[in-house]
Amino acid sequence: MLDEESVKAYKSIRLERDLRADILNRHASRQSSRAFGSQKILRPLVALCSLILICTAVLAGALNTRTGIYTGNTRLGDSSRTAVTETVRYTDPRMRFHLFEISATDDLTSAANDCVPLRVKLGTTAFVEISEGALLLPDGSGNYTYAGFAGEITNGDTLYWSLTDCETLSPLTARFTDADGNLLGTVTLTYVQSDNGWCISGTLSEK
Amino acid sequence: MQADGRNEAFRRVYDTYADMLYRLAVSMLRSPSDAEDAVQNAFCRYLDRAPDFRDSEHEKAWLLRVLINQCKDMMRRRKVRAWLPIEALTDIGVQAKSTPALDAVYTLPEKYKAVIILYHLEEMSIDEIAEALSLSPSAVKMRLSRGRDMLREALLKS
Repeated sequence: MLDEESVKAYKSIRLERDLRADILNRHASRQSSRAFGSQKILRPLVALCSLILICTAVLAGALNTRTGIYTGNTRLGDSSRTAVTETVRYTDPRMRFHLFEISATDDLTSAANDCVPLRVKLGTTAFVEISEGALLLPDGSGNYTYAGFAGEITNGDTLYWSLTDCETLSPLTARFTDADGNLLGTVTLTYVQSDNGWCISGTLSEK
Repeated sequence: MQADGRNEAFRRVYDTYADMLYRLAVSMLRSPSDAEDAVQNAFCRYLDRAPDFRDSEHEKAWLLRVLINQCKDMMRRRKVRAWLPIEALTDIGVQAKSTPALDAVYTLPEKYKAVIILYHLEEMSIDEIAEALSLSPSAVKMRLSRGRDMLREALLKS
């Protein structure tokens, strides 16, 4: 298919600069930050987590939650965004989606005005791969940027499903994996119009 | 001692895979400096959180997957749409010649380009590519077939 000269030309592309020192320095620097942070906050964090776990267990029964696979429709509402809030938890404690909670005071950039918050609460850093649609991630400075085909999510991050293509009913298909590439869950969502207005229809599955 | 062992393992991995990852990153990102960033990020992730690998092929596939994901993320953030011939890259570090066939490969959509490069230029097997790209072998074959068709069309046009 490709001639020998092309293969040779391709393989002549080489790193001219040795990146090893830079990589090791970056890694060492990140390790130091983490070690310092963890020492400083570890004990109070353990105490806080214990308290949160106890409170969560008490509140769990009071929340509108479903465990397992969610399949269904959720009414989004009109432009005033009076959406229904759904929380879906899975048996894997690392994976929990908190869906469709929209607040009029959400501070979104203009690019993100037509979005559905898909709040992801994870117990670990995860990686999202999007095969259809677009998600927006916070970029750390109060703005939101397209996650594109893939992005990293830390616990508590809010992802926004961009609906700027809603006229074409652009669906969202994304899968979440942990840092080792193990699948945590998948999401497929479609924005559809019904007699009650715009609805979100789709599935979230644990694996 | 433990740190020395890890650093030694890292040096081995770097010597084995750095150029391969860089070539692929340059092909996808069309920028040597961005490609260096992507390679650095991939190796930093290796140091931070590489799993226990079954064998060297698993390690290679993992690194490729991490690098490709880095490149995809960077491409989307940059919203790169234009194709540049590799001769247009003047940054230090790119001293590669190009051929019409290679230029045609670089014009392919990203999902076909990756498979064509890994199969025909990096000489990986279908199964290895499937593991690296988290695809089924049949999906790899389909992309390879479609990529080849597109490549032929591009070469005929040129």
